[in-house]
Amino acid sequence: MFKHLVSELKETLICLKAGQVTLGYPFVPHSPEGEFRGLVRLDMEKCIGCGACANACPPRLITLEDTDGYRRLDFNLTRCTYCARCRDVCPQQAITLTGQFETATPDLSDLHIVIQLKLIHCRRCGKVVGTRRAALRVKNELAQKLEIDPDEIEWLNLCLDCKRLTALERPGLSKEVSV
Amino acid sequence: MQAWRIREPVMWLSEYITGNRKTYGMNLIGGVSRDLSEDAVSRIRPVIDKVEKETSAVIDAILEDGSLKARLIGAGILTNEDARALCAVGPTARGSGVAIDARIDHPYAAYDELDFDICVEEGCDIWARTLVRAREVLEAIKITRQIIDRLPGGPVMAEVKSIPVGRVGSTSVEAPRGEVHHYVLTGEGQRPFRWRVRAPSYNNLQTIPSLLENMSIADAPISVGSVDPCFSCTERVTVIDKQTGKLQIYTQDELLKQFNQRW
Repeated sequence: MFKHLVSELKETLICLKAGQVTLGYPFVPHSPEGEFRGLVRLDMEKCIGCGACANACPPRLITLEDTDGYRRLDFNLTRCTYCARCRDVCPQQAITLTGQFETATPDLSDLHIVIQLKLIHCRRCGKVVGTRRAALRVKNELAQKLEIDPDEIEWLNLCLDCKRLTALERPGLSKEVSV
Repeated sequence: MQAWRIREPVMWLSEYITGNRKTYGMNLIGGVSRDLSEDAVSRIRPVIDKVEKETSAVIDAILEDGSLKARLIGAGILTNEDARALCAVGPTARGSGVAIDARIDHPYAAYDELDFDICVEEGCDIWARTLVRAREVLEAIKITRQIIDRLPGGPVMAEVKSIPVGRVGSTSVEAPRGEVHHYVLTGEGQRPFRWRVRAPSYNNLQTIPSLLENMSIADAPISVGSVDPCFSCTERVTVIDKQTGKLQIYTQDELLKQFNQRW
């Protein structure tokens, strides 16, 4: 009986010492710690539509579709697991995971990101080469590396197969680049 | 309730280190996605010191608590024989005197370099399982201390070029509820073809009928709670025709067609 009393007293002390620990949330806003992985945000200006994120996404919620001269990148965030793989692989650092964790919504479009980017087609065979923004990025980077006028790079709007064919026909065009 | 309060700083620490309270998203093929910063290591120490102090105080207080013991001792009995026969794992097994722990029985990662004990109780009741879980908190702190003292440094990711198709990977690790088993069969496009998880709750839930045998209804909730089952880990489906009692087996295509919902 005595032991039980001592035990109960100890428990009382633990509770009293703790006092009130409840946080003010949701009445007081709560910002998460460190690099919290919350709702995905896409920087529309930076995205070049390369599709690296779609390739890396484990739940496969990012889809790529090329129609009518546009590439449509669709993020269906209702199935997002917040793993941040898309952010890690993005070559443009266009994807960020915000501190936003209150994602419950009556409107599904809140959890949907769609971006449409203009495509360029191969001038020889008409196949899709990639988005215009991606080509532009390659053009600028190559112009810097090769130290030439960007307008001289004329094989950017050729698909992979046609590039090979063109290089065979006009070997003078090929130049070694170390990237 | 005090145990939840004591745990909370650990959750904040997890959020700071990994980016989330529970879904850490750390493990990748070839390593982990982020390293522990100096700052993170310096923040771990005060948190585990505090958790250790507070957990010890709670254990010390409840050990002689008459009402708690009256409620838990002799309730939800899982005999040593039943625990073995039903393949119970983790604290459920260890509360019935079965000294199993994947970290010691077949060490993985760095567990063979660490010094810690298996918490085993012979009581076979809810009280025994409670004590096992409480003492395991202290063991976990002991392990964490050894790890942060001996962090080797170096890269956290190995370079993985490509994953061959059709290879099998299989491993068992010790989760808080017991041994968890993962099986993977690699597929095309660097993605798994099959992934099967046998979570510890799958084993431990099989013990529920024995736990409830000859007990009063009032003991049922705490008996089930003492096993700490995770139902989402354990969901399995068997489709049986009600009229004929025949088991329905689905092919992959049929299964996807019927149950794969995309919204």
